[in-house]
Amino acid sequence: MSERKDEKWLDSQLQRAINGSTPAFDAESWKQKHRDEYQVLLSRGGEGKQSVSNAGRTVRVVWGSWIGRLAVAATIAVAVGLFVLSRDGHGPGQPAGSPRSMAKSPAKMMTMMSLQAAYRRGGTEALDRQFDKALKMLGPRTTSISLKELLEG
Amino acid sequence: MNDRPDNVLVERAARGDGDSFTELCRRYYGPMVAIGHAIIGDRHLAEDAAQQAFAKAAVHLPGLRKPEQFGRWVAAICRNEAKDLARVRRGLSTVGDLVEEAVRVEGVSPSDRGQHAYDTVSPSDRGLEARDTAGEAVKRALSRLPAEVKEVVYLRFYDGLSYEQISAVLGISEQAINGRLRRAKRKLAQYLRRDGFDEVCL
Repeated sequence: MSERKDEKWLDSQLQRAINGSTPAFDAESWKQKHRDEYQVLLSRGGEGKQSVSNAGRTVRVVWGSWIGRLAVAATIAVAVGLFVLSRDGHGPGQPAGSPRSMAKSPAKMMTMMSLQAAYRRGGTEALDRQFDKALKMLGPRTTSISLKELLEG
Repeated sequence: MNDRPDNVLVERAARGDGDSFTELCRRYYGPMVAIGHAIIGDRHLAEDAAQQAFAKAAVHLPGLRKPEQFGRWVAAICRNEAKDLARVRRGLSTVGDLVEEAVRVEGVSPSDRGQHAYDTVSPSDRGLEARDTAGEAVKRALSRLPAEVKEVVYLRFYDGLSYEQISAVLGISEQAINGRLRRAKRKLAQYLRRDGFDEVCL
């Protein structure tokens, strides 16, 4: 018996001894037999879908009311303001890079740029001081004055 | 679905996709039955072990850190299941031993029954019997192989799995699989020669 023939003989004997025919997986039978385990597997999909639907519902509720929209707008405004401040690299309490000229009129003092400069110089306290200064410059006014007239003064 | 890689199917199954998990089961059922059969030595119990392994995998799938190693992971589960079933089977086989004992007490020894069976076989059937004898000798030799080597032989000859498929299940290189198979065949030839098959030489 040659070596090649021997190995072939052994292969055929192994094939017969092991006697393996392609086992087919019966999915339906398995699902029935291991129902609990399969349900555990499927329930994970439910959790994922549930969280997605909860998020969608939250967005609909917030966007459906005017208070919600206002809150979203305010959040965006604050975020933009903070972003601008952080980009300039100066927060409250940090020294300003160069001295800025003070606004001459109350209207100019109340502009966004002027308020921002005040905030950079001394935070909310500096903002308060600037408001006070603007009010002093305006002097006593009647209660019926409009916002436009107030700022034009 | 059929051509998707394991890691994609595992990730989907971990998110609750039953079809992806079923596809993984179909893909690995044959190798798992082969592994179970190598340990237990019984086809039906091997199928039970494979199905139990998939049930455990369904529960613990999110804990699998490397989805591309699903085959290796489920094979480890299947080995444990098969060992448990083999222990149960060993316990049951003592009942068989009791039956053998009862037959012996009645006065007919198993060897006598074997001789009687030989006498009643016609000469034309002797060739078939010789072939069966070789088959039995190969089975005996297989049972003496070390577990890890036997597993490779079963995976290779059970369902004609390719080296690549075996590699996915065992997590070893194709070269290592080839080496194990060659070692297994040399060992088998050695056992067969000791069992009276002198003409076997590899």
